[in-house]
Amino acid sequence: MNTRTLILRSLRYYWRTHLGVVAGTAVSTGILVGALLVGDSVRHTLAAQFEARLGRTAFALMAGDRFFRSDLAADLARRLQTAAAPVLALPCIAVAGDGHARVNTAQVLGVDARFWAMASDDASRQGQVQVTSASREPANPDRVNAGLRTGGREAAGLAVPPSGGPAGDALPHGPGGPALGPDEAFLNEPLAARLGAKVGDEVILRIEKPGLLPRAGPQAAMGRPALGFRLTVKGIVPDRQLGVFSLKPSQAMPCNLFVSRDWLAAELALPDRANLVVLAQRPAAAPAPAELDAALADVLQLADAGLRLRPIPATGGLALESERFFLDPAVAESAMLPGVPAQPTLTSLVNDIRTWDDRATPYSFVSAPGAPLVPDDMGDDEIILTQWLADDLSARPQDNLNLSYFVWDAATGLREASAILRVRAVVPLTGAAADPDLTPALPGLTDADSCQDWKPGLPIDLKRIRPKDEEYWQQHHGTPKAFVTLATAQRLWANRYGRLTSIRYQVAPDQEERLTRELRARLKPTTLGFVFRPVREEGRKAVAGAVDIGQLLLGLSFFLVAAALTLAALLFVFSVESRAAQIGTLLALGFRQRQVRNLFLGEGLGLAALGSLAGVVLGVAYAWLMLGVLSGAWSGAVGGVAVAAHLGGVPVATGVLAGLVAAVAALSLAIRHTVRKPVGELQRLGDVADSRTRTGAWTIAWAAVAVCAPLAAFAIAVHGHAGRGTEVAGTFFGAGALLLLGGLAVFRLLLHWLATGGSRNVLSLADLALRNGARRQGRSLATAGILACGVFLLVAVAANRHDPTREAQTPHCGTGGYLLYGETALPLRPDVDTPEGRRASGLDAERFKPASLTALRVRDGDDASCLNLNHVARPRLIGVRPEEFAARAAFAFARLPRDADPVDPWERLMPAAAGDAIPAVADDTVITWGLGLKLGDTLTYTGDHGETVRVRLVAALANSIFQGSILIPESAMLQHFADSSAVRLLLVDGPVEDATPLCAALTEALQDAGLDIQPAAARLAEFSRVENTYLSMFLALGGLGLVLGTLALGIVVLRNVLERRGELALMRAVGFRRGRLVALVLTEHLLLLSAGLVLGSVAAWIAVLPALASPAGAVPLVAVGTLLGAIFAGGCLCAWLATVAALRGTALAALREE
Amino acid sequence: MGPMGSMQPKWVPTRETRTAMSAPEPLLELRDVVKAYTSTAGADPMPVLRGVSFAVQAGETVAIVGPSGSGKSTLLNLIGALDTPSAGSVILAGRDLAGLPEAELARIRNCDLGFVFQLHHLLPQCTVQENVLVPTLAISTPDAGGERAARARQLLGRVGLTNRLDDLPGRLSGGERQRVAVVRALINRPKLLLADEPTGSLDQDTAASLVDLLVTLNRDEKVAVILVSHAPALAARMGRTLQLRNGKLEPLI
Repeated sequence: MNTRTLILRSLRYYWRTHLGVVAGTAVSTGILVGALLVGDSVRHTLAAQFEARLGRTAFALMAGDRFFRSDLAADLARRLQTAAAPVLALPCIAVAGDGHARVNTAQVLGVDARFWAMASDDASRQGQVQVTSASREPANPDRVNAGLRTGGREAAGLAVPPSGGPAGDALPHGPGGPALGPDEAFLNEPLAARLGAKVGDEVILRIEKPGLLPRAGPQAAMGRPALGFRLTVKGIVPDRQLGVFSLKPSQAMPCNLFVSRDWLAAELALPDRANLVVLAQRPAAAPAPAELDAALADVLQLADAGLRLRPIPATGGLALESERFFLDPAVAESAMLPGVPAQPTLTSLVNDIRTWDDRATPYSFVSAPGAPLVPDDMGDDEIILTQWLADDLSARPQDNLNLSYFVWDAATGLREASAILRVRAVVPLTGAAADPDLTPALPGLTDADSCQDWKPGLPIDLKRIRPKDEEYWQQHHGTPKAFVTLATAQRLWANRYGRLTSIRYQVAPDQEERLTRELRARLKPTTLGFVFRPVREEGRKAVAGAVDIGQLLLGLSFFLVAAALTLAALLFVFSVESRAAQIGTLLALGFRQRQVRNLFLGEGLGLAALGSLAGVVLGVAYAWLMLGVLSGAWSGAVGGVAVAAHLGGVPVATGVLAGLVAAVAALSLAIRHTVRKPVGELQRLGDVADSRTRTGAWTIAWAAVAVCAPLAAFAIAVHGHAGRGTEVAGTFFGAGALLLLGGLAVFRLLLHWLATGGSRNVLSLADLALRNGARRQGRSLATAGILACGVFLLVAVAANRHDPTREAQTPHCGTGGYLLYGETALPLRPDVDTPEGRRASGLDAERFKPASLTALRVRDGDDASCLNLNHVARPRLIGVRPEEFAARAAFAFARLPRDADPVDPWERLMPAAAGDAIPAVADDTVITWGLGLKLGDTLTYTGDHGETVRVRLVAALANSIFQGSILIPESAMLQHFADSSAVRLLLVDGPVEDATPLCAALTEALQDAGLDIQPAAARLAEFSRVENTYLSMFLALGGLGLVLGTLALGIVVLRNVLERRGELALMRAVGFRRGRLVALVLTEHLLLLSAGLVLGSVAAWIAVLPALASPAGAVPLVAVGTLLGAIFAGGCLCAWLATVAALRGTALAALREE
Repeated sequence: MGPMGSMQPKWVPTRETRTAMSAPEPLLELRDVVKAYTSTAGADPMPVLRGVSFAVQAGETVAIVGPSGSGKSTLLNLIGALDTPSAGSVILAGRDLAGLPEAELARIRNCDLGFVFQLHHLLPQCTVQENVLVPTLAISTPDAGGERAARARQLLGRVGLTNRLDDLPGRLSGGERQRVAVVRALINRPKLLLADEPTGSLDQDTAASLVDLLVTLNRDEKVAVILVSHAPALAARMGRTLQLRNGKLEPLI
């Protein structure tokens, strides 16, 4: 006989009463294990997505809107001793061959064999790329499987090993990897699913024709043409073989279309060009940023920067020119080589040169070539004409001429300006004055054979071209007709893209190689927009910082766990109390209190261990159930991702350990006081209720809790409300829990007052009921506590639920009062929301009359909305005009700085409002949850010219349609991100009844730009779906906690009545009817039920007050009231059933037992 | 003989002096023990024992009788270190129990005292032999050589329960259960056995046989016995009977 034998005997003998304890522990452990498993599964799914997205890619080289040599990839690969692949990546619109399906947000990737070698999968790298079966059913286009698919088999959310599944047909491949011919394409699985396409089908690819000129340059005024290609689908690329290649950290699977890079480049008139290089990670240490920059500087050619050196026959020297027409300011500065004579020049197209008597010459080039053509003493208000121009204008020296020309401002667009210059001299059109090389190549203009073939991307009137102009073009082409000083030219025509069009070096052509070397050495790639992104590291950080679903579930389940543990502890206490006589005997036999307690704790440990192990099974089942629900009704909580279950040992072990520790702690706490009772009292049979009062010290302690807990809750709420990210969630739970604790402490004091004669009035049944309710203070407190926890969760959740689409047409709503929200895949005209722009875009028809348009500029970035689980570092930017929003008082702000003007909060977005940083506004949820930041924090971007741009968050919107993006002033967008942004977002205002026809009409009119348009309220509802999904989860888990609560109440009632059977039998013997006794017992326990309801509700309402005070708050009183009513009714029912069951039998039998 | 002779007056010890010189130290001594309880807040304490003094020698058997509610169990709890007196001293084996730490009191209950209660309070989940050995678990030293187990079997044999060693208490009669309780009380060779109404739940014959057992064990195990009972016939089997009346203990005439 030893202690272990005694414990095992006790466990076996009292197995019936211990079942409840095991069950309670199993439930609490199961919830812990399940929550951790779900979180772990989400993390693994995101990590798997990350691996699938990038393959072996570690770095990505981009250069804004520039196209560089595709050979740059090979140069970098040699230099860095790693694999690299050039890619031509462009946004596109993909349409099914028969037009029945369309994807506006697709991506076309022009690749070669080196790209496929970037896949993680060994088979893919060896060219054995597998394709999913052609007969495979298209997956649900709204859900994309993040798991690894093989042969079309999708094992219901379970990750599929790469090597499984039917082999299917291999992609056609050549030596080194899959090969694509002209007009052929591979689709990835998401795109194939959305288009319903399979191998052999046709798809239509629409892309904006890119150009070498700056994207946001003057040519953007006319917009760029869209090209269309009809392609044959040659294969479907699986996810794990770079089918879902994307540099964006998002669980939303991209729709990719793969074509031959050579073919695409040729079709786009960008031969041997790429705009992206992906580099694989090296087996050795990853290169440091400095090494990458140094490698790029070593291998960068002039052509990569769009520069060329060409001989100038007229001068015998060399000229440095840019394919972007203007020389970048940074290039111009570094291209002035010390010791090398050089002449900077600037040439521009002038629309009209006109005399005072209205004689005019259209569309001429005017240049600033410097000496000797332009003498050093020439004035900045003077102009030298060639003889041809002078004859055409009949102009003489000292005549004044009016020059009209286009100026480009990304903010105001293209406009015509003019300047008056005085003729200084007339020179013959020979020698240096007849140099066509003074005009750099301007695609669409200088490469045209005749004036009628001009397509410069500028609004020119070809009808003005006269035969003599055509003749001039045939003879002299782009030779300038007039000359001005460089200062004049820069004053008139310089812009953000440059102040020079060429630099002419007075060196012999055989010095070209040396000059090239020197120019390359002085080129700074970063100033040209070249940037290496550590995409693998960014991806890892995005996954590591992703929304922790497991932590959320744990937080949501906290009260459930507490309820389950309290139930287990309650049942354990009942079990121990029923063996009170044993405790007394052991003490009498010489056991110390500690030894007796340890014996029972040993039992408790055994029960907790059994329960925890059983909890593993429950936890796995709970996780499986939760993952299934997260893939279905609650998919909004995980952004639509089908999470693959991952059964990790660590979360299971952690959950089991935590459950075991929590259970043992709860059981230990529960029996602490039972063991301390006097032996005599323990050995007495019957009611051993602690009718004796607690000591004064305990009373003081509870009073202290009753005062301090609410104060602490208040302090936490004040401090945490302005906190970061998950701190706000912690505030909600912490403040609520403390308030609840305080309330329970007050209840405890009330019970103490009742038990010590606080209501010693004339004895009545009601008075008796109150006193009876206070007899078992610990038990009563535990019961009310369980109920309060459950009610707290339910009421707090119900109060937070709201419909943001209410009053969707009012300006202060999240829609800003706008009717429709649309985004295009391809850029629109910057002036599309002006009358002229609408006319040019075909939006001036009668059917569009009711609509007013607001066009906004967008710079692509990461999605920081709640739809993206990944942590993002560079959210998308939207350029807005704050004065327009201010004029219509659009949108509501959730948070503003204290010194903000509440009447005109948009004034915070005025350019000067944020000091050295660009002021920005974003949704409160984006700031708090998506970015984990707070007002005043800054984000760092890289501008188009390599400059560091800081964006400071100055205000927070309340649940707007812009969720996921950062709003900055349009002026700032144009200043720093003009080339990397485009007008792609439309807000449409109009009568509500015109919503549907306007949607259809706009979609048709802008289908070439790939417009996706929807009611603004619908977009808002999409974002709310995520939040409401979380709330639904809360409700479900809270409901479970409630069930435990009412069950606990029923058990307590049953226990209380059974303990008092003799007492109640006596009352029946002296004349009380059974019905009155039932009423008496019910009244006692309604005290507990009511206390639980009131404490839980009050704590919840107070805890969510900060959220309710927000403009976006809305209180669903009816829902909450219904909820509380249902809880009360359920509790009454449980109590009544338990009472009736316990009072069965005759009084005599009960008395005899006594 | 006077000073002329060598004879000195002879010192003759008095009877009291002779008694004092030759009487052994009592095993148990109570000196003016008072015990009062406070029933409700603010009320005066209700004394149950009002200055009880008596002594028990080693190996002696004493019966304490009195009406119900006279404080017999209270007195036994004080002797058994399960409660503390409001005043006075309880001295066991020369040590005043007052002020001893809880650990020492537990050791005394385990090693020096044995309890037999009216209700046997056997652990229903343990067998007869295991119930007897339960007190040995309070001692942390292992049962080297199984000596305690052997003693348990031997004692159970003496009370006629050799064939019931592996039975659970639920399968025993009331008398058998009390015999097991008695053996349990003796397992650690206590000096003093306290029996609080051990026959209260037994019929007359069984009660008598139980008391016979106590008397036999007293003789064989050299353990003093204090028996609390309200049955005079059973009390008369003890060597001495004391009556508890009005909170005071006096010999029963």
